[in-house]
Amino acid sequence: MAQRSVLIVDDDISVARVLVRVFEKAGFSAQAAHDGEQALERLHAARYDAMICDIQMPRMDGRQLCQQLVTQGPYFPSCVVIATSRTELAERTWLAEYPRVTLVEKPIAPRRLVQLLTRRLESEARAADSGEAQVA
Amino acid sequence: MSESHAEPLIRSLPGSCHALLQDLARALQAPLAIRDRDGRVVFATAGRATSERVAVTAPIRNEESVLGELVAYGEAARLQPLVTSLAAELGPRLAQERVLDAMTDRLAQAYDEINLLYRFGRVLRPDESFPASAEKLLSETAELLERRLLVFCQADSSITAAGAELEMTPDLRWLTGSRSALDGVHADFSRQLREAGPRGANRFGGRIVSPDGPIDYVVAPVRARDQVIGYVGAFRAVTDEPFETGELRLLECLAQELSNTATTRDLLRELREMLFSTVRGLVAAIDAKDEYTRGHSERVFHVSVKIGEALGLSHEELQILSWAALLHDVGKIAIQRSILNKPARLTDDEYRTIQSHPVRGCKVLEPIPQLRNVLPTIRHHHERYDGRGYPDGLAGEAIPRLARIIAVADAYDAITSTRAYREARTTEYAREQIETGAGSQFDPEVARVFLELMRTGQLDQPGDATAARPAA
Repeated sequence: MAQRSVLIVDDDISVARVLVRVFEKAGFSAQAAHDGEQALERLHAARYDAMICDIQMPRMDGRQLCQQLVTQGPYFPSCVVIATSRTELAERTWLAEYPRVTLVEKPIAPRRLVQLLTRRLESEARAADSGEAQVA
Repeated sequence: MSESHAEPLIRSLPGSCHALLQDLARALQAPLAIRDRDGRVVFATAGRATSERVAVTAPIRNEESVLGELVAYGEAARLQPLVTSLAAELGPRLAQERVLDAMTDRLAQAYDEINLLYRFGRVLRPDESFPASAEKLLSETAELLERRLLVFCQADSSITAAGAELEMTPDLRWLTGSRSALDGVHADFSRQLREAGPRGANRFGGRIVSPDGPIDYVVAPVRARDQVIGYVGAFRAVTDEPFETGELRLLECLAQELSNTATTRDLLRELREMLFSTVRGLVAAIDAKDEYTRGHSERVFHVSVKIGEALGLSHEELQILSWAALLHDVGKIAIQRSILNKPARLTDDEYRTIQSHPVRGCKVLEPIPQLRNVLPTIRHHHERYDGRGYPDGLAGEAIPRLARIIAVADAYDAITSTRAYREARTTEYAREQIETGAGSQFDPEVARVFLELMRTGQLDQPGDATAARPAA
């Protein structure tokens, strides 16, 4: 299997660095972006299998980023994980509109995120192999 | 941490250095590569392998140690000084990256631990039993420690196990299916614990050999206060990936949380026991003031719990029943002894006074919020099934069930005890009275269960210690 790639979008630089590191150790290629606009630039420049995204960020937040990706592209990664805190539970309503989004509650566990993405991407690869997945 | 110390400094180049080297290669107009100490290429920019190019090298050092070498391909005379100064810059930079990586790894572990502790806080409920809490703690941890078998083994031999995404290979199945396998682990654990002493390590490792191959494990002691009450262990087939530092820390978190929960459970139990025995003592003292009622409340409590158990009451109902039975006559403190102990026939007024004791008892206990659910049982323990009792003349199912139980136990003890106004009657006489009263004075179902307990001699047996105290 080709190396899987993940884009980590978080304005907290230590969280971003931790996640890049654990995903690299798990065999992913991982890059970080620190707000929605930077994430857009990266998504325009390369194709990512997965994206992990914070909600509250300067310039362009997670919600705006998702809207932008759906309405103007470049594309919506096939596996997206949004990290919310308990106080942002209201966010669940708008998130329901996005089919391939998984919510995780903060504080995040890097180990859990690696397991989650690995499993999601594996099951998607299996689905694609058996011809069930339709590329949009 | 130990893992990153063992790692050669340049095994793979940190991602942050890739872009830098790409830029430098473009600026120098020469492909660049980095080799580790063993000469393996760990990073290379594009276009290295052309035959007409010469390799120019310079060692990459940090302080005194050589980490590897920087290689450039092209015109030696032009490149050598550039490569040498570039290598000198790279050494400290790479060493710094490694320190940062080690810190990042430690931070990642800390995030995992915080997440786990946060989840513990979310799933635990203060009113649930210890085994229920232990099961939740184990399964939360198992979710993080994928493909490991987690086992919580208590000194009383009870075992809780959990495993997420775990393929139960024959060796692991052998482990959970065989008591002797875990006994082996337990013996080993106890030995290591003894050798380590009271301030010893937080975890111990070992290996056991199953018929299907060796199994590695790490165990951590679980303590209630300072007493070791068991251990929690992570098990893996040796063919599976070894335990990492992060996993061991999570196991320690689990052991710590189990210890805290067990300690809380013990403290709560002691507190409840202390309260209950204090009240028991006080009630006994009140009873003892009157030679005719000495031990009465204690006996009613004992018989009521027997009936309640035979009726299959829940743990909560048995607790309420215990308190109510023990305190059912507490209202008599407010009644003059001359009336209580009067050998002659009571006047109507005196009789009414005696009849006020269930209501007075409730008045006495009302200020205690924790006993509020006990009050209806106390108030109605003198009601009759046919509605001719007091204080409210309730009938049948309208009388609280626990009060109907105490009514039978109370009558039985009253009949078989000596009173101021008469001698004690035989148990046979009491049996007849209760049989006759079933359906009129007593709830027929409660009477039936009571008579059965009497017939089989179970009333005389000492109480079951666990039921006889209202503690979880």
